[in-house]
Amino acid sequence: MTWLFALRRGRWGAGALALAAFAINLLQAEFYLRVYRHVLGTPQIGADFLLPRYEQLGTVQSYVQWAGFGALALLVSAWAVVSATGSVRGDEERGLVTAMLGAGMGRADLLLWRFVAFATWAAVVSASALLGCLAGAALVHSANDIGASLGASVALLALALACYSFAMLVSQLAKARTAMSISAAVLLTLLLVERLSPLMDGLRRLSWLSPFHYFDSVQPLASGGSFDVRAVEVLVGIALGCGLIAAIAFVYRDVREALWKAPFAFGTRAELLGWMAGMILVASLLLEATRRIVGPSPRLPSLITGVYQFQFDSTVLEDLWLILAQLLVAVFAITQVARWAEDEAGGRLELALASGASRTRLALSRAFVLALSTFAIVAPAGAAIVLEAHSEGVVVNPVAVVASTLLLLPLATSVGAAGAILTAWVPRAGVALLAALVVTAYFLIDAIAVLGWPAWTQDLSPFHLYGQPLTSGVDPTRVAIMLAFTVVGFAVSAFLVKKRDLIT
Amino acid sequence: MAVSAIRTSRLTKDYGGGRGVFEVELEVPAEQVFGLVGPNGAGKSTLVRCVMGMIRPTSGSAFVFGIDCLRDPVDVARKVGYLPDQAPRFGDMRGKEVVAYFSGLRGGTDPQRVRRLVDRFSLDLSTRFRECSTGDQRKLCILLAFMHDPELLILDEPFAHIDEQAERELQSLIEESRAAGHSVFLTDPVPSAVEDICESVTLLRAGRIVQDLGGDDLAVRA
Repeated sequence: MTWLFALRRGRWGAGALALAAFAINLLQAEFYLRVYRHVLGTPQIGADFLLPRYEQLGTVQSYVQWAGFGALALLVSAWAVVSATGSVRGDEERGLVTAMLGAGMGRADLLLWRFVAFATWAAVVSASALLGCLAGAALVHSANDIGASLGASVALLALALACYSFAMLVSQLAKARTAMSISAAVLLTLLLVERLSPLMDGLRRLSWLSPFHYFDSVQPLASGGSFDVRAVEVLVGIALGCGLIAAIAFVYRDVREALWKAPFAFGTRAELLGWMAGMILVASLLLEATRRIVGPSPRLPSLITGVYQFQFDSTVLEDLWLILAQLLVAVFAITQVARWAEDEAGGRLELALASGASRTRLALSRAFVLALSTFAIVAPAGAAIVLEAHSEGVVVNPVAVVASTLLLLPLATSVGAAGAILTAWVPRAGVALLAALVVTAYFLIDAIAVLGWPAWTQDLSPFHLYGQPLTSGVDPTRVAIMLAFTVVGFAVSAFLVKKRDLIT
Repeated sequence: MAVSAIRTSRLTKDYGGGRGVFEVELEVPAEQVFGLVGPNGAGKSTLVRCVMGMIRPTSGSAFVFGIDCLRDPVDVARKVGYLPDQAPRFGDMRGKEVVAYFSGLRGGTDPQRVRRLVDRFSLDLSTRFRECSTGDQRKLCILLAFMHDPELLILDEPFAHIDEQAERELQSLIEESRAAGHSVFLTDPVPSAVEDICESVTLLRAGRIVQDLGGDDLAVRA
C-alpha cells in the first residue's frame, strides 16, 4: 500500500521526465546526423562541459551516449533531489509522515518504501531513455547495440538512486528548503569537480568522491567504451549506504525537526547569501579552468595574436562560465516562482490582498524583487571575474563581462514572467511546468535544428536570446524581446490571478 | 491492578527558552476518559507527540499499556487511534483513497464500522481532500482515528474546526468508546469543552502539571 501511495505522489514528475528522456535520446541521433557530424572536430572544450568528456564522438551511438545520456544524468540528478526532499521533508511538513507513523508504520519502513517507489519510477525513466535511444537509432537507420544501450540505461538508473539516497540523507540533517538547497549545491559541486578534473590536479584527486565520476566511467555506447561493472556497483553502494544512514538518522530525529540544529535561521537572506557565495565560487573556479585551457601568460605582444587571444579567452570563458551562469540564474528564478506559489498555498497571498495590496502591484513588486535579487547574486560573481581575470592572465573585455553579467537580469525576469503566468493559470502545477519549460528551452536549439523549424522559433528560448555577449556583444533587439516579455508576462499574470479564485 | 493506559515518568522535552514540557508525571487510568487542558503553548501537543514517538524526550519516559513509547513506537501506534492537532494535507487524494490506505496500514478495518462513521459525520468520501472544507478534513481525520476501534484514543484538540453537530457526534463516540472498555486521552485549550465528558482532568501550564482534578472538581480555571 505504501509503495502505491508513494508511487502515486511521484507520478507527474516521473511521467514528465520519462517523456523527456525518450524525446532527448530520440532527437540526439537525428541531431548528430543533421548537424553535429558536419562540425565534428576535437573533443569539446567548453560549450558542453557539463556533459561527460569523451575522446571520440564519431558514431551515432557515441553521440547519444554523450549528449543524450549525459544530459539525462543532469536531469535525473535534479529530479532525484527534488523527489527525495519533497517526499521526505515535504510530506513531513504536510503532516503525512505524522499520520503514517501514528498509524503504526515504522520509520525505516517509511523510508524504504519511498526509496522503492522512487526506484520504480527511475526504472521507468531509464527504460524510456533506452527506448528513445533504440528508436533514434532506428529512425536514422543506424545499427544499435541493445546490450550497450541497456548498460547506459542501467548506469542512469544507478546514478538516480545514488543522488536520491544522498538527498534523503541530507533531508535528515536539514529541513525541506534547506535540504534541497544543500543537496543541489553539493551535487553541483561534485559535478564540477568531475567535469573540471582533467584541467586541475587538485580536482582530479577528489573526483572519486563524485557520483558523476562513476557514471562517466560507464560508456558502453561510446567508441572503445565499455560497461564498467565496478562503477555501477559503487553507485548502487552509495545508494544503499546513504539510504541506511538516512534510515538510522530518521529513527533518532524528531518528526518535523532536523538532526542538525543550524546556528542561524535559514531564511530568505541566508538563502540569498548562499546563492551569492555559490555564484562567486563557481565563477572563480571556471575562471581558473579558463586559465588552464587558454595557456599560461605572458602573451606575445602582437596585435594579431592579441586579438586572437582575446577572442579565444572570451570564447572559453563564455562557454564555461556563462553557459552555467544562465542555467543557475534560471534555476534561481524557478525557486523564486516556487516561493510565490507557496505564498498563495500558505495563505500569505490572501492576507496580503486582504490588506489592500492590488494584484497588479503585487506582480510589479515580484518582478522588481526578482530583478534585484538576481542582481545581488550575479553582480559579485561578475566583479570577481573582472578582478581575477586580469591577475590570472585571462584576456577579456571588462565592459563585456559587466554587460554579460547584467544581461542575466532580463534572462531571470523572463523566466520569472513565464513562471508568473503559469502559476497564475495553473497554480498547483505551475512550478513543475515552468521547470519543464526551462529544460525544453535549453534543449530547444538542438530540437529546432532537427525538426527543421524556422530560425525565429529560437527566440522562444531565453537562452538563445541571451546570446553570446562576451564574444559577439549584446544584441539590443534580443534584450528588448526579453524585457518586453517580462513586462507583458507579469501583466498577464496579474490579469489571470484576478480572474480566478485563490487556492489555499 | 490494570495497567495504565498512559504513564509518564519525569517526562521532559526541553526546546530551550522555557519551551517544552518538564518533569511531567502523568497517569491515565485504563477505561477512562482523561482530559489534559492548558493554554496555547502549554505543551499539550508536545506531550502527546512524545507519547506517540514523534519526538524524543530529553529525559524521562512514557508508556502506553506498559509499552515503552521511545523504544517501541510502532507497537504503541498499533494500539492507539491518533488524532493530531493539525490535519495532514492529503492533497488530491479522495477520502475513500485515504481511508483505504490507512485501513491497509492498520491491517484492515471493518467496512461496516467505517460506513457508520461516514454516515454519522455526513462525510462524502468521493471528494478530493483539498476540495473539502477545513471541518470536513478534520472529520475525516477523526474517522481515521476511530475506524479501527482502538484500545486507546489519543485526540489532540479534537473539537477544533468542527461544527456543533460533529462535536456532538464526537462526544457520543467518546462515550461509546468508554462504555466499550476503551481509554480516551484528549487535550483542549478550553476546560469547559471537556468537563462534561472527562472523568479526570489535568491542567498543564508552561510545560508543568499544575493541577489534577477528578470527579466533581472539574471547575478548572486555566
